[in-house]
Amino acid sequence: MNKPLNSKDLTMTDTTIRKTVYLGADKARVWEFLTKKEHLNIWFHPPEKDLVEGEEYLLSSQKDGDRMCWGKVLEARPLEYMKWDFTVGPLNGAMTCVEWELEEAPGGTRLTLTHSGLPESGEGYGLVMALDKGWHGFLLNLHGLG
Amino acid sequence: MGETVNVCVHCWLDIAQVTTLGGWEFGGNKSKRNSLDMILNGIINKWYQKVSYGEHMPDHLQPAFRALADPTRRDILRMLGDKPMTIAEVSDQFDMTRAAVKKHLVMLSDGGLIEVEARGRERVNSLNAAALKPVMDWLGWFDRFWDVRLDALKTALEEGNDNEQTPEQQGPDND
Repeated sequence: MNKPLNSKDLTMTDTTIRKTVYLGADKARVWEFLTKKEHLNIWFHPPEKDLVEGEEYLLSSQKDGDRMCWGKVLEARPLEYMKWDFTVGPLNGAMTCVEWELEEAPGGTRLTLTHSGLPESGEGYGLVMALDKGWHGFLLNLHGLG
Repeated sequence: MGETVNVCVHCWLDIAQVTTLGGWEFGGNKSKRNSLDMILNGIINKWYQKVSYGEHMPDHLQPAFRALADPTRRDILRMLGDKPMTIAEVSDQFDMTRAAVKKHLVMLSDGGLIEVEARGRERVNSLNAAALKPVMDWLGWFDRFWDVRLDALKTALEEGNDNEQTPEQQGPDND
């Protein structure tokens, strides 16, 4: 039960998302899209600056400047691997872990995203803090559905 | 108006692509909203602010969110969470007509949030907690979130080859 949040095992746990995509670009280019301000801007949200190991990052909305995703770049091995502390507003302060792995593949790059440490269903959900007893009942039901 | 809005909280981070929020109706028809509902509405409203129209909308959840957006319907859901009730029983708890209650129940049913079962001549409404799960479930939420993001990355990489920018070309921030 007490799995480490950044568990690297290959099984899909209850609270881990793992996705792999093949991208038609070399690792260097993919790395740019994962770390450079002007590239993240295209497919995600603009950070304040390029992502650098050991530094905090903040991805803000282009529209109203609201902070959207933030955390810290815990590890960055250029062209290979990056690990973030990661949260979004509705997580209500809960930190999760996002890992990016880049592997060379024929004609491009295989990119694997691992998002772990997600709260169990309902827990940490932004709604929870605003819920009254009736809603807690819902959440209990939801847990039961596991 | 609110009824025609396509909403999707899973895309709430995509606000760069939001062109219109289009008349989102936010439980404005009830004067007896309590402060809790105000908070809840604030949060849900915040999500809807981030909503985008169009392509990546998993619209199967849209009716559920529409149903949840009204404080009266949430009150009804809470009550049904305690026990299944007939329309008459629900109506007794609210200062409104049976017809009005029925409308709310239809919305909830359309959202899949309640189940309606005929029992003799009566129709009994009960909470369908399973339908709330995708609305409340982080794993499903981020699963779709990353699908959308990774699609966007793939597209950006494919299209980016044509109009590649060099960092030197960056202007002052244009946010």
